[in-house]
Amino acid sequence: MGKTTLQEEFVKLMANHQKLVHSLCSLYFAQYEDRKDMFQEIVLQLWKAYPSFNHQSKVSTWIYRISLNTVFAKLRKEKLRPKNEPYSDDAYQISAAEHSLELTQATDELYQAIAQLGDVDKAIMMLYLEEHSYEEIAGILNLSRTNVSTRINRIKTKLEKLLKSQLP
Amino acid sequence: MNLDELKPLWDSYKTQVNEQSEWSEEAISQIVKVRPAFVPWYQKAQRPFLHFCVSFLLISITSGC
Repeated sequence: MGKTTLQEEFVKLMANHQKLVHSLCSLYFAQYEDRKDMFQEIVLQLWKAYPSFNHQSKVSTWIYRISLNTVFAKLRKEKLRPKNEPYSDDAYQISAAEHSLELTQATDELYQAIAQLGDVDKAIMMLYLEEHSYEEIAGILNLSRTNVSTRINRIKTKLEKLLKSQLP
Repeated sequence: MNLDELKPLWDSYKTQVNEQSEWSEEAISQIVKVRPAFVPWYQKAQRPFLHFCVSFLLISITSGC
């Protein structure tokens, strides 16, 4: 397959699946510029890995695996914020001022609740909501199935509390 | 709390985020284009290594080893 054809195929694939990457970036990065940079970085990493993608796993699983590795590497490298610490009110207000996501109240409550989870827990919750099996989640994040199962129960309890506390 | 309660909210969240962040195929294509072709590290060393091996072989043969 020619390089141009491969590139066209990849661009079409990304255009169809970019929703996954955008939702992931928005969970980890509050600032518009950070989200944009991360999206570009993820697309590059996916492009780099695309020739060796053998289509044996689901496309979404492949995208999530590479995207999450890229996000975690970025968070480790630049230490944008202290680990497992929710965004401060100030950070949220700054992002709200410029290019913040305009979400309906219900989805904003979910976003705020998930934003308070730790980095790995966010990924687990996102993959769980995307209806990936425990085995798939464990494979993507290099965790054991038991660990994933335990964490999901813990996260669900935490989210339930957070969402209840946000209700008027 | 089960998946059925959160799934519609999550789908709505994804749709709203995508509507505000969506990139066109052209824009995605630009990201890919600016990246130079990936060259594995060993490819850079392949030719000098081949030259060295050929030279070594020739020296070995001509010196009678």
